[in-house]
Amino acid sequence: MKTNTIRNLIYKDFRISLHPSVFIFLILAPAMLFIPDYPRPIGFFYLLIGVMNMFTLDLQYKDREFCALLPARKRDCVKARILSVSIIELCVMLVSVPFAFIAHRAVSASGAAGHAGMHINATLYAIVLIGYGIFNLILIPGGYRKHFRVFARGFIGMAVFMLLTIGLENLVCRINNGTFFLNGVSTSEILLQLPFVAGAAVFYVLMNILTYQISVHEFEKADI
Amino acid sequence: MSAMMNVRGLAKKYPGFELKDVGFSVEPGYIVGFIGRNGAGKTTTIKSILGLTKPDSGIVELFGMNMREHEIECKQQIGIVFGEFGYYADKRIRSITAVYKRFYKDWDKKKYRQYIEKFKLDESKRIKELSSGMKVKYSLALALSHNAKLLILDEPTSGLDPVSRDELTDIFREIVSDGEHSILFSTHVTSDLDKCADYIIYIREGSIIMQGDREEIINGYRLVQGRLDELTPRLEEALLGIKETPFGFTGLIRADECYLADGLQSAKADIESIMVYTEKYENHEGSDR
Repeated sequence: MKTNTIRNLIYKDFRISLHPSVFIFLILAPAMLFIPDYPRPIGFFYLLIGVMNMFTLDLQYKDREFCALLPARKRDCVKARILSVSIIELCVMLVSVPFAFIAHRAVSASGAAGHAGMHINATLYAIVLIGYGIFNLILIPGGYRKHFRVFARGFIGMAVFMLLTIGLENLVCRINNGTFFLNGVSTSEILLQLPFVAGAAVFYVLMNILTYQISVHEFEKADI
Repeated sequence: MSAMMNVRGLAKKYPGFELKDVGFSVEPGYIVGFIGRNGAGKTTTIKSILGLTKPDSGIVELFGMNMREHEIECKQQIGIVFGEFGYYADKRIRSITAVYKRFYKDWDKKKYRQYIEKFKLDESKRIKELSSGMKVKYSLALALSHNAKLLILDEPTSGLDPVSRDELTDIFREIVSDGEHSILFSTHVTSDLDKCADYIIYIREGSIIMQGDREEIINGYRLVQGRLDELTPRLEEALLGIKETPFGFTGLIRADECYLADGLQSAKADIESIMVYTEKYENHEGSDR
């Protein structure tokens, strides 16, 4: 029954709570990988606007009130929402993978690739995962507080994502003048990067668990 | 059969308002009218029962189960209406129903269709395109379509025209007629309760000040009317509320003290006059009795 409740709440999110901009940003991230010499995590950054919009729509649509009437506990509503956001975030990353291959080849073939940003590789996905995990931790609990705090938290979250991911990207680029294996694109280098992706995935999951715990605590206290 | 709902010692403190030791039961087959002025605590009580607001203390049992411990099981068996449907304004009725019905294992598609037709709801319309009355009707259609044993309705008839209100009170009577369903019905429109309520709970400033069988409550009070010179000190003291005009007075008195108004015109009180005289024309001398 509990699994069904979570599944139904996720269905609700995708059927009536999702902001249309999420779909636009879902396409934008892979498209931006084709821009040469562009900070790579920025393409993934725009999705955060869509996620923030989803929470601002909650306020307009009285989503918290609607959920509270359903046969679902407050903690189920929080869990389903975090899973919905995770699905969206992972979806944009998955959708971008084939584009990343094509973009890498296209940008390399055109000779336009410079040294402004890191290469499109597995490390990029590790950096984005870390950024998404921290963004979720900053944004999501604000949507469950007694006094809705999504706007300020959303902007802070986006600023942190931007600073963190571009900082990490720069770090990767600067080690050994960009020849460090984390910035590599060869098969052997990408294989070496995979443990970092796994570590980032663990970090992302831990951040989401923490986000869940804080959000549930806030939501249980809130009077709807 | 045991009570469908049992509320004991419910308390919640806000700055400037306090819900104090609220307790009542809803028996199977009953329509319970929950009355009180705006801000008296009706919605806070209902929200505390449903867990939307966290009460400071108190126990809520639904169908013999503790609501906090068995929230999903309890909510499966209740239909909730908070006035007009004010959620997802840009979405179509069809989409919201598609989401809503998935949560209820006893969703009755046929019954839902019947209510949609009865209330003349167009499923292709967006919520924001509905009038207030239609939004209430949609809320009710959802609440009535999953075979809920207990309906908790907060101001369900506000915004409805008299014909729809009458239609609705008939539906309410029909629902409880099998003796297995109950309705807790908070409202300002006390005339609806005159038509259908069996039991009345009256809340004032966060406390239940009166509860009981509707007929017993109504029969327990009389409205007396007379000239100002007929208002004796003893009668004035006995009146729970007095409305004075330059030509005379009208007052609410307990039926067992009606002998004090011998010779004056008296009439049966209704829920509205009991509420109005208790709230608006309260006689502070009499009320301390």
